[in-house]
Amino acid sequence: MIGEVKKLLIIPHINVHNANALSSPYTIGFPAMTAWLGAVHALQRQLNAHDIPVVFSAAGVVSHDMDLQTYKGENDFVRSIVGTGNPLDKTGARSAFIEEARCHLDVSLVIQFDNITIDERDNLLDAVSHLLHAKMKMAGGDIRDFQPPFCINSEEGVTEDLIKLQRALMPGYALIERRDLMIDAMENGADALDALIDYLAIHHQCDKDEDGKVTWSSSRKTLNNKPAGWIVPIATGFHGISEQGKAKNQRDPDTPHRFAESIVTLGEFKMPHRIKSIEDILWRYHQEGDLYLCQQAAQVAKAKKRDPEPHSIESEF
Amino acid sequence: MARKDNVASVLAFEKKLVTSDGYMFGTQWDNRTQIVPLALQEKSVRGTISNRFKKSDVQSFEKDPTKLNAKVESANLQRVDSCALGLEQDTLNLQFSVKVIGGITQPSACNNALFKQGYSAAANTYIAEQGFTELARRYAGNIANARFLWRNRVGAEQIEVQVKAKNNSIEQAWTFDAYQFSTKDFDSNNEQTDQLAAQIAKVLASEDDFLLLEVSCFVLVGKAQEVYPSEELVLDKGKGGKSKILYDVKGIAAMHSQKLGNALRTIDTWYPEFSDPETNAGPIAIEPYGAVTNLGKAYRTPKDKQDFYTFFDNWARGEKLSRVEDEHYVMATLVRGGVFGESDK
Repeated sequence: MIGEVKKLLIIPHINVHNANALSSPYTIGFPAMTAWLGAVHALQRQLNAHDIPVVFSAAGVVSHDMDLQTYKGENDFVRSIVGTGNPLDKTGARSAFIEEARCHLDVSLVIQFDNITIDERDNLLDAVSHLLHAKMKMAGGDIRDFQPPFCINSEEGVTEDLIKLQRALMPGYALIERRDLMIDAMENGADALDALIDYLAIHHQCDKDEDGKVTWSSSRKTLNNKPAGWIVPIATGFHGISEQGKAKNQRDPDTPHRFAESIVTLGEFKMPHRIKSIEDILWRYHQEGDLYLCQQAAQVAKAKKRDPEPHSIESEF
Repeated sequence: MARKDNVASVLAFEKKLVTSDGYMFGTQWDNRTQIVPLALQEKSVRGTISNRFKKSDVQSFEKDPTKLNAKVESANLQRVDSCALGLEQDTLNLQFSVKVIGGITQPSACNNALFKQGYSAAANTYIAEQGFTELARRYAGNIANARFLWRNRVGAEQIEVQVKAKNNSIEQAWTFDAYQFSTKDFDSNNEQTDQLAAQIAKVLASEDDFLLLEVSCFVLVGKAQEVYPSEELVLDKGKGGKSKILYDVKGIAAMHSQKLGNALRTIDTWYPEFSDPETNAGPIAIEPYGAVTNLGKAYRTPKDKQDFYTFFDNWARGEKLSRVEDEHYVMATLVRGGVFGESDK
């Protein structure tokens, strides 16, 4: 890995409006990783259709700002989703409200690309700008604005290259996979859902001192007596639950269809200045048997060390 | 061709007029150097009971009039959001952007190749014959007449709309005096709107072009007057007790993008009741059933065979519509976007 030169395309500060905020089937928040890799893949296909033979092999996403459309009044216990009204139906009656969580985002994408020479780069950048304006959506939201994309070469292990990238992405939070937390907890006997909730739950407890004074404190699960980080639940792929075949009314009649369920695991938002190598924030597609995953190399390496058996579904329920 | 063979059960079009949220600022009409973001304010007001009483209540009041007094005298306490200009500011400045994108001949999702072919042919014919000039003229008219201000437009002394094209290739700017453009019809001829319309039409008819418009609108409403951002739709507000929640983005009062979009596509003067002076609602927003939310009425019902689906199903399969206005309406609905799949049962 050290010495490998990565060609990176950075699209800084994409402003996405009204994106789908379902980060997994059970939670709302930052859009799922599948949405981001999907958008990058869609961009590649659009570019290929414009005779630019680029290959996008990996992508990282850095969140600079996120505005989740929820509302919480002063004394409210829970947040409620800010909805959208739908047009009246054919009789003029109000149609049903569909609760859909939306968010406004400011994200940067880091895309590793190949198959493009230095001379073709300007062409690629123009085409990317054009497509982002004219064709692309991200996580179902409209792209309102973005800063000019640019390419850099980055050699693994070279500190200057890493710093250059970090500077381009700060301040922000890169989404990192933390399935190791799930694996750890499940090896200690926790069931998948418990392991997930354990890291997310906030425990409130009160202490009464001798004078009868009550103090409340809140805490989350710690890791080695340190805060575990900014841990969030995310969907990182799908697990096929039926054979490939034809389904009625499938979206694309020419491609085999398969029913699947989301794979939910933990992720962490981490400031890019804390990463040691660019590979740490890059996600790649990985397909194996029934699993269609977005995953990170560091996590795969960790899992391999721990478990010689490659088949370990860490969090599927 | 048997109808059964070309039913697209998955069919979707993405919107081709993409509006941003509208941000609200306060400034002075004669001196626009200082433009300050407007913030929401929370108000607690002691209102009065003014609703109609239930029948049973009315009967009990007749027996015992003091009950009525007790009821009316009890205060109606409310906590609401509001938004107003500052003491020195007499002008509201609303800023938003509109992106026009092309590629209407391709649906964003369609699972029937036969249907897609037929639709693309029909759309290409429309573009060749009409070139989107009529729709673009109306969209441009709705930018020029500042319909997107909604309630903020009411009672304003002067309204100035500044539009800038922000593409790399196009550097053009227009300024409109909104009161020179009617909101009741689109008959006015104006060189400036024609220019703007030409740009919009070109992009809508294109394969994958785009046009970025930045709109900045100045509305002279008077010092410290109230202005109206969008109200948020929160279904279960909890116990917080605020009855009206307005929209803001990072502390800046704002109007929803959907609301601005609805104003821009309020171009439908082709529905049957438009010609009837009694029931005429003016131009209505382009909707598959011609729905107007604040009137609680749908102007294009399937019963009258004037709705989008009636027209679209035949038109996309190669039939000509009897009026060119109906074609305008169908294309405008596709510009609006939506999910139009048909059950194949």
